[in-house]
Amino acid sequence: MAQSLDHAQWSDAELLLAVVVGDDAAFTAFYRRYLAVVTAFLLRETGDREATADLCAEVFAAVMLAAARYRDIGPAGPWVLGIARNKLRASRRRGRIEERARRRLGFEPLTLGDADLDEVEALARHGGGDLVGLVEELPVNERDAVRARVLGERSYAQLAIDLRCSEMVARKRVSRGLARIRARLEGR
Amino acid sequence: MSESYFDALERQLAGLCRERAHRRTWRFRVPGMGRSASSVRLHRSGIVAMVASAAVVAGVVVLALALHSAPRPPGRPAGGGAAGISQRQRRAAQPYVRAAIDPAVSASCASLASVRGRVSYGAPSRSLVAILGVLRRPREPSDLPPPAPGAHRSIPVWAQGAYVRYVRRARVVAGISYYVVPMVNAGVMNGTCAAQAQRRLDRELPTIPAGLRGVVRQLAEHQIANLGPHQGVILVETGPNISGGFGGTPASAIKQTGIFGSDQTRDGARVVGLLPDGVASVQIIYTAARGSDTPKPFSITAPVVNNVMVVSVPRTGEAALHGKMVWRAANGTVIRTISQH
Repeated sequence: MAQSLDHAQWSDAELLLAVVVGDDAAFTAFYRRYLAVVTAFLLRETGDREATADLCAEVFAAVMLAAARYRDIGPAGPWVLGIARNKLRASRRRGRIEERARRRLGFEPLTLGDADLDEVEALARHGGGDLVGLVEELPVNERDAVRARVLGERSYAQLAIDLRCSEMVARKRVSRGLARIRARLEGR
Repeated sequence: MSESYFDALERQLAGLCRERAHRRTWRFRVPGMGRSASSVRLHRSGIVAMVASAAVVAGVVVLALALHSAPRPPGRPAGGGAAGISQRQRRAAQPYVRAAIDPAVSASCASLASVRGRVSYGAPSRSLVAILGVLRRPREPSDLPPPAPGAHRSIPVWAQGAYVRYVRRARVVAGISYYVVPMVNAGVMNGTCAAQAQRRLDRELPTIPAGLRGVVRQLAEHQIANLGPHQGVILVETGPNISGGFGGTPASAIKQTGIFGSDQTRDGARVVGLLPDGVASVQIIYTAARGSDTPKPFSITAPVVNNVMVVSVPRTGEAALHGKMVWRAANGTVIRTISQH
């Protein structure tokens, strides 16, 4: 379908803006772009396939609610993973999977089958492999910055100290690294 | 074969994405008008603080345009349009309205390039110039829109289809420039798409339950008029880390409700508004809000300079627009009160 092909070419910022105006095809494109990465991150953190699937739904519901607040500072990877991290923390704090965003949207609960749990693993393999492999291929400066920021959850201030550079330079390295990763992912 | 969890998740969220945008309108009451005519649908214009690419700016404009309150279609009687329809009827009719109109607002039809076209060197309507003093003042070099960053065009996307000679930089506040931009066509559909939507509506109507047909026609035609070609104004903000716009509002609606938007900031929100001549200040009265940093009622008053007001509010982006607004003249008399209901 021509429309979805077009959306696949859009930047994250363009997709998220279109999500704000109710463009479901843009949401779909964004979801497909980040589903594997989010799944990989959540499965790595929880080690639980059911919890991962449940949290994935919450994360993408939150993405929709927060789309209007997204600032175009490069690829949305860190932003999405930031949402995933917050949802994970909130879930751990409360001892149950967070579902506030889904409630706000009026989301109908979904059922999980065994095949779905296998799909969680498959997605995570794809996302994790993609992400980790591509991070390793980055130039050293960018690789260290992306590793620490995205996989290590370091703040930019912490990152600047770790990398012995200014916060601005740290941001730039993360941004460049992620842009490179996204370009490679999209080129596959 | 049954749908997988992740496919069902994608489908449901995509559906909610569309639903949510359609729900994103507010009803405002304008005192002094009859009940049937008193409900003005005012979009949450500008809802969003914006990102830096020109293409994205264009998208925000689309957002605003898609939701704004436009004039009655030509030839419709006063009180027509979407007025006089109960919430229940509206809810029941909405899926049919969407089914008739959405395909016309598809990617190809909603492309700003196809709608806007080139800039215009003409003049906006007298009714528009008459209510916005900032458009009547002589043009200055600072009124020129800043060039699009990194683009081959000399003007940003948002200025496409603008009456370029009438673009005015109304204010610069805290490093952010606010431009008032009259548009030849502030709609998101061109005439062809609007006609296509109308034809589709006519075709679908006989298949719609008879009891809803009248309401669906009324709502859909109102919406087609809103989305179709019409002259209007957008308010564009550009500055460090922000480049966006909202509006698409015609003169008649600016006179009634102004155009208001809010941007999320670190400390709360920045409310920005475009107001007609004669309004010297705007007071926004907020009621108590549970879970807010400022749970007690409070009010904020901002001056209007060159038809534009800008004020920081200790509320989050969307909540910052949830207030009763009192428009005042220079001598303090109340011109208009707009309250959400």
